[in-house]
Amino acid sequence: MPGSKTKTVVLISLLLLLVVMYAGSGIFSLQSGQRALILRFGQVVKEVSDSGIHYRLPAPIERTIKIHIGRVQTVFIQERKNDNFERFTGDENLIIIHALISYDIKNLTQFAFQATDVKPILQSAGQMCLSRELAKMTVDDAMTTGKSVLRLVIKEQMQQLLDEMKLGIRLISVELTDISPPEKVSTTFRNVSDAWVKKQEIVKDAEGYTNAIIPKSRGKASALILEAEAYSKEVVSAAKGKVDAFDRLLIEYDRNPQVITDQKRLETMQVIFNKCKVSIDANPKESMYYISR
Amino acid sequence: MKKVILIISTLVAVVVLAYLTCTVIVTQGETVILMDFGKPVQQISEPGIYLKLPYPFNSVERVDARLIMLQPSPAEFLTADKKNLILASAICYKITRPVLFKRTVRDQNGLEIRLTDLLSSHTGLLMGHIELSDLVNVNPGKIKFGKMNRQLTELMKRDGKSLGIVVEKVFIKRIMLPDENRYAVFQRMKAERNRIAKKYIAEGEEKAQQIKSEADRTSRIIIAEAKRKAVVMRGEAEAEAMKIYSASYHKNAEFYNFVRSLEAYEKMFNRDTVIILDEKSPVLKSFFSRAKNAGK
Repeated sequence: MPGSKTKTVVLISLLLLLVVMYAGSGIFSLQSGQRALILRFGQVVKEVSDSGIHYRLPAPIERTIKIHIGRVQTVFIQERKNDNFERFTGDENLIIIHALISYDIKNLTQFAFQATDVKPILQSAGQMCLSRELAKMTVDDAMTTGKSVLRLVIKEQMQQLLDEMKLGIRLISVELTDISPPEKVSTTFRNVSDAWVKKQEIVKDAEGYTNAIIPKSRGKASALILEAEAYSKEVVSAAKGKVDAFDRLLIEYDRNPQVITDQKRLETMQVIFNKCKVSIDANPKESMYYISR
Repeated sequence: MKKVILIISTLVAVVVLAYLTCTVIVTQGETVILMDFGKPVQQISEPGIYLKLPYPFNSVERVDARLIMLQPSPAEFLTADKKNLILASAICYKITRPVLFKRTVRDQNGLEIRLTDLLSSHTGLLMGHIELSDLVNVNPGKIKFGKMNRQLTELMKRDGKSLGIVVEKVFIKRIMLPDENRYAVFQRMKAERNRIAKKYIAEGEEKAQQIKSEADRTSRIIIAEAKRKAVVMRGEAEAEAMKIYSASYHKNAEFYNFVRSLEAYEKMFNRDTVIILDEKSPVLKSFFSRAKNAGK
């Protein structure tokens, strides 16, 4: 029965084909940035991270879960504007603070099976850390150094919380996108920074005054010194000149005392009478009376 | 040959049928409830493959055992110092004993209502022993935020057990004020900012005054010092002149005094001086004596 034989061969071939096809259904491919978990009867047995063609046992024995892991994900902490959306600072001021959290997956199994959705958890944890840390700071610290300090502290605290919860998430950064006073008081905050600038200006003006007045005084001082120097030279050289003249006169005087004496006396009188009012009187006592009256 | 094929086919069919009806696969992250005619008899949370009786003896219900967030809307509480605060909190939990969960709260919705109530009452109780300054303080040592969060978590964990869930974390997300108190805070903030602005200006002026006074002082010192030097220099010069004069004086004191006196007279008399001369004054001797002689 050749017909029956052929039938059998065809049947076996068909069966084999089915088996091969069934076995082949375990082939799967991974794109770059994708990772896969292989589950055998519901339990993770292997994590595949290389892109390309891979094989697992066919369903229902094993199955794969593919997850995009390459890209960094972000979640915002931002209250709705119309809400009561401020946070307390340590000195009981209210300020607005927004944050952007970026993260990626560090443990695929935990990420896949620990939580239904990590975003609300990240948001809540972030909000709590923000509130808690801000509640220790003064409003001025928060608005000046706060941005850089809070970032690191909050990232660290959040990471700790996420690790405690075994979410398989690694935080990349926590950026505080906005720390600002509420709109209702923002002008007064601006006034403070204006005042601060004004303060610097006032001080700079005063410094300018210093820079102007000190050199001026130095100039005046050196003028005084120069003047004194000139005077000193003058006095000394005048003395020298006079002494010189006197010495010459003395030589003449020694030779002929009376002539020199008379001569000098007359010379002087000539000068004096030349500038003074002179009156000649026979009876000077009466004229004296007249003048002094 | 045919028999072999028949046996194999039957075997495969039996295996497939058995797999479909008599096994259940529990995946990681879920809990499976086996029900005996609708009555839960077993809950399996370990992943793996398990045997069961075929339907309708055993039926299967799968429950997500992963963490779920519940974020109830913020509620208002009264603190120990009689302040109204609004707290926004969130609860992170997972269903671990779905049978108990179903029996106590029936479903997710029932659970959420129950958890919200519990959270609200526990928070209210804790807030009654706490003041705003225990949550918000520039002195970190006085803040009991962490303690309160822990206490709240403990209370929720304890209550969660009887609901078939495990409360993983409670987050106190935000502390807010009711609107009227919020506006009061804004007013206070404004007043404080204005005070700071004024303080800055006053400080600036103070500093400026200080700098200016310092500059004035320095410049006066500079000038005074210069004046002192100038006086000394003049003095020294005059002393030197004196020395020079006195050297001459010692050569002939009498004549020196005579010459010096004459010089002094020249300076002493000025244009306002009136000199009254007696006709008989020796000064005018030359003037008149010759005439008298001539007259004789």
